[in-house]
Amino acid sequence: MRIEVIIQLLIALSFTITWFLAPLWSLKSNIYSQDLTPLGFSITFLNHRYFLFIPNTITALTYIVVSAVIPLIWRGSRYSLYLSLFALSLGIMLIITALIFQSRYLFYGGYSILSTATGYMYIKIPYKTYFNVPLYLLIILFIVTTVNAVTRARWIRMRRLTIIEEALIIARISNPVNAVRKALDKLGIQYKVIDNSLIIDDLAIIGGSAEKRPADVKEYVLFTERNSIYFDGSTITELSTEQGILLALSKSLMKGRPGRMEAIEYA
Amino acid sequence: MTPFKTFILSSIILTIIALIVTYGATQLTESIHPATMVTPFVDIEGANVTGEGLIIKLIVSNATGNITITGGYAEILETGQSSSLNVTGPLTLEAVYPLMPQYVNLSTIGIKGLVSGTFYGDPMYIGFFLVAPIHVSISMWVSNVHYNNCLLNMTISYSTPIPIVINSFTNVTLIDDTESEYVFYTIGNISKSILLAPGVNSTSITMNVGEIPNTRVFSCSLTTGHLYTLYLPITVTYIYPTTSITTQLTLYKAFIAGG
Repeated sequence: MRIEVIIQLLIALSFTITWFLAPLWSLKSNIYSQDLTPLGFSITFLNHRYFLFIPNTITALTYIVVSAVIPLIWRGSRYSLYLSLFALSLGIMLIITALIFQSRYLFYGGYSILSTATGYMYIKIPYKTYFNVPLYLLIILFIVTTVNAVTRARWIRMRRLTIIEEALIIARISNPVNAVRKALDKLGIQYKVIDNSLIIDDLAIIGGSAEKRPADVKEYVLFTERNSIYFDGSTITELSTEQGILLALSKSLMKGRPGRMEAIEYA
Repeated sequence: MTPFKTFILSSIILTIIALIVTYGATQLTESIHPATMVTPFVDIEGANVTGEGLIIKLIVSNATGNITITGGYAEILETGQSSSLNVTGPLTLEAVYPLMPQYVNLSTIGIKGLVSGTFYGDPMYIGFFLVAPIHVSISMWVSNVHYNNCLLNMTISYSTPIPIVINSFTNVTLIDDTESEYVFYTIGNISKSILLAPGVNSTSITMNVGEIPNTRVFSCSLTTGHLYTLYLPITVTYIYPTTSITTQLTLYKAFIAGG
């Protein structure tokens, strides 16, 4: 799972939580206010509260969450990232339609002229509109999603361990045979497992516990608890564990047959 | 299904849902109603004529919420007088207008103007047009007459919102109605300058009839029980703040001597 996709999901989740805590957009005046919440417009007039539900905002929020979840579920193709960007764009469009809805149906001019029993009343109520934290998170989310779609979620240039480095680390943690086996999996080289030993063609990679040497094997690398032994059919050479792993890998590369590669994400 | 087809199909489904939702949102406009509020209005509390002038008192009725009144102006339509409103209480205002001659003939006045203030901290104006009854009357009458030793002592009572000056008496005549004969009469003007201050009050005027030129005196005292009538044509000047008007009035008093 790519870290870029996780970042996208985390921003989308923080956007969702923030929007429930603070309105994305709000209009404020001394007697009247409108807040754009995930469920619609929260309207306050002279301390009377009214909630206008509109489906745009909750759908927009759903689209934005779905947009962040799509790359986690569908990892096989880059179209997953394109669909994610498309869903996010639709979510943003739905928020824009909510704002258009506001200016169309909840228009508030900043003044009011009312008739009274003996004349008229003119109230000037200047207002200000604000965008809040959720909008800024949404902008960041849009940028990250776009970059993910363009770079196939490969914009963080993180140095990954080489197969040899990884094998040496695994050897230290578990045992050398396991390390070689993981490395062969990554390289996509076929092998057989017999009694905790790996058989590649006529090469055997034998752990310290396996006392019996498999039959029809010309050469083998044997890992003992402290070091390793290489037998090339005629002579025995004593090597360190690290040297044994390297030798086992290079011999396997020459003798092995290509197998199934690990799948590449967002190919 | 290839990834590309999955992408296209999912995009179409998402777009259709978004279209339905956007259309559905417009159907919710029926639940939007314009907000209503109780509107304050300006009413008249009183229009009083006093010595200071015409005092208009206004009150902001029906005031709910956080309303403060800061001032305004009001104009009297009949006279064109305009005055700024002074705030006298949280919701009351007052304006004072100098009295003018027109007021004497009016029974109602039209007041229009604007009250300014703040509504929850924001500017607010309340325009108004009001009709108020007013009663401005200037009256003078002779309330008491004494005549003895050729000295005429009369009390003139008056009620006025403006200062009045009595300029002169003309052809003052006292008649004994019982006997149908003159007690005295004067010919021509007797200049005086008596200032009557605004308010309801009375003033005493004493004249020695015997010393007034062009006067015929038939008797220097009154007979008890007889009916007499005093005719007192006078010239007065009403002093309005902006102008003065001089006019003639005839006061008279019928009385029974010693009664």
